[in-house]
Amino acid sequence: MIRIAALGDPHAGLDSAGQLRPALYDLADRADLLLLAGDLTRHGDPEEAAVLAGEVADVGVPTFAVLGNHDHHSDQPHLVRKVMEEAGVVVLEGESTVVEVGGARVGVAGAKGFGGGFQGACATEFGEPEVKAFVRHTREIADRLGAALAALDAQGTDRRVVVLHFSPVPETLVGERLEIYPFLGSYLLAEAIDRVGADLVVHGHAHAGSERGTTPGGVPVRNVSQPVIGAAYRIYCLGGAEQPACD
Amino acid sequence: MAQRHDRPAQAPGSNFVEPRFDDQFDEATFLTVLAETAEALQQKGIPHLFMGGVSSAAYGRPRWTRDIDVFVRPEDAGLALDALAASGFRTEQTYPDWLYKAWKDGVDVDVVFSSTGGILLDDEMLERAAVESYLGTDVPVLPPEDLLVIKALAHDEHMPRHWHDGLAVIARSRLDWDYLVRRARRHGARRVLSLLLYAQSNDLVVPNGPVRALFEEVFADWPEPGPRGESERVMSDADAYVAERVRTALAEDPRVGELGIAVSVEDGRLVLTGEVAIPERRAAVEAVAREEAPGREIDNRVSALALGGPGEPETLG
Repeated sequence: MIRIAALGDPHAGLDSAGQLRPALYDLADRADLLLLAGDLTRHGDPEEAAVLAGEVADVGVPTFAVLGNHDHHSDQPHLVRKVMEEAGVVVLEGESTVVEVGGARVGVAGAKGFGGGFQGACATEFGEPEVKAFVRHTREIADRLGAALAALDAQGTDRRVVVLHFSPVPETLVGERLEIYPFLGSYLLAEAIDRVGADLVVHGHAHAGSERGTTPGGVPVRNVSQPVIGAAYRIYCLGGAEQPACD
Repeated sequence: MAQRHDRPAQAPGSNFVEPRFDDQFDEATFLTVLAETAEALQQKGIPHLFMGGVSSAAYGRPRWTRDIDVFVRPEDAGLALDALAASGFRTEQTYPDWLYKAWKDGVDVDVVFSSTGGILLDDEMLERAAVESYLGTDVPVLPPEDLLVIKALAHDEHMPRHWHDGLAVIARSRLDWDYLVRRARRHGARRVLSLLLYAQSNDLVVPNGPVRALFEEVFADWPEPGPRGESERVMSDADAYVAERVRTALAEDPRVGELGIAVSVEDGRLVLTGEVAIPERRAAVEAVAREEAPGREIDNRVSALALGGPGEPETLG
């Protein structure tokens, strides 16, 4: 039984100290690891990251994060990453890592992701350089995510989970305006995940979306954006069919 | 190669260079240096037009000028300076963002490559430019419409002569008004409009067409309420623009950075809906919206996110 706590879009500002911490105090009793699905900060200011780092630093379980678009806004994502890492959070940018949970090897792969849209209506690397750069960014991230998952597969893991900021599927965007779907995610992320396979994908970014979806390959996708889950975080349990609900 | 001197940078857009009254030269020397400047650039095939006093004399009011202003493309500025150096000028990369200088026989040559308001020499100016005689020396001169735009933009409290130079161009030149309007739209419609209106008030001949065109350019975003049926349609467009401006500001203003606030207009009132992470941000959202849509009543329905506990865990296979 592996209990995964996840949240997205805390959007920490300098005014956020003490906002999240009270909700996390007993997280270690409820979950084995914590995933932060991006938009850790409001503007990508390293001082905002320090506020969030203070909120999660002593949560008591291994914590993994990806950056979101907000974390890039000040053009200092490397400093946001550094601040989070100094607080013990593992930041994954097209990377993966393995953590031991109760004797099981859990692989965690993470990437920001990016937009581009979904099957039947996705952007292509065609036309103006700006359009091509946009699509290329998504492709590069999807490729890195795929490589990170393949690395986990090669290392041998009992479970694989993926943390993203952008969505890999449209189902978890339902509730958002259709016009902005191309800015909320890309099917290329799902394709990269399905190529290797995973047990759970969590993402944020779509504040007005829906919690549950599935990749075409059958991997459960959960939008853990705080406004969507209406909670500080959610818990997902990975166990066998014979396992009872976790507690 | 020219030496680069460290000098205090000038205010952007300022074209003002302190006259050097210690320089001693006569008209014949000035004209010789003018001809040599043109020849040096011509020989190297560097496109150039004379502006400043030379162009004012051709299209506006003749005035004695102590220096020569020549306009080149930014990418040619270094080549132009080299060409002048090769012709025996002393040169200096004075202001690397807009102006280099050269001297010969006590005459200053300003090599301008970014004029007032960031105006650059371009193909259309070169195509339209005529060769004009300055006291008997034939040189290619900036078109009068471009001169007028630069004069309008260059005018300020300390250099009011630019304004009067501009009026002289209106009084003395045959202007292509369509071209002037096009240039003014690009570089400073409001300032050129004010010069044209001032010229009309002084009984200079300015047709109403260009005045109206620039007026519409400047005030395009502020629709006047017309007759009732029409005004509703126009105002609803304006509402849409106001709402989108507010929505954009809520994302881009550093006090907010909220991408998920919906903004709509109901009976003229701005309605804000959505969720923010903490209560204090509701007020920030409203403050930014108020600045962006002054005078609009605001219905702030933004709520602060209430984050409960994690609830029941979900079991996945």
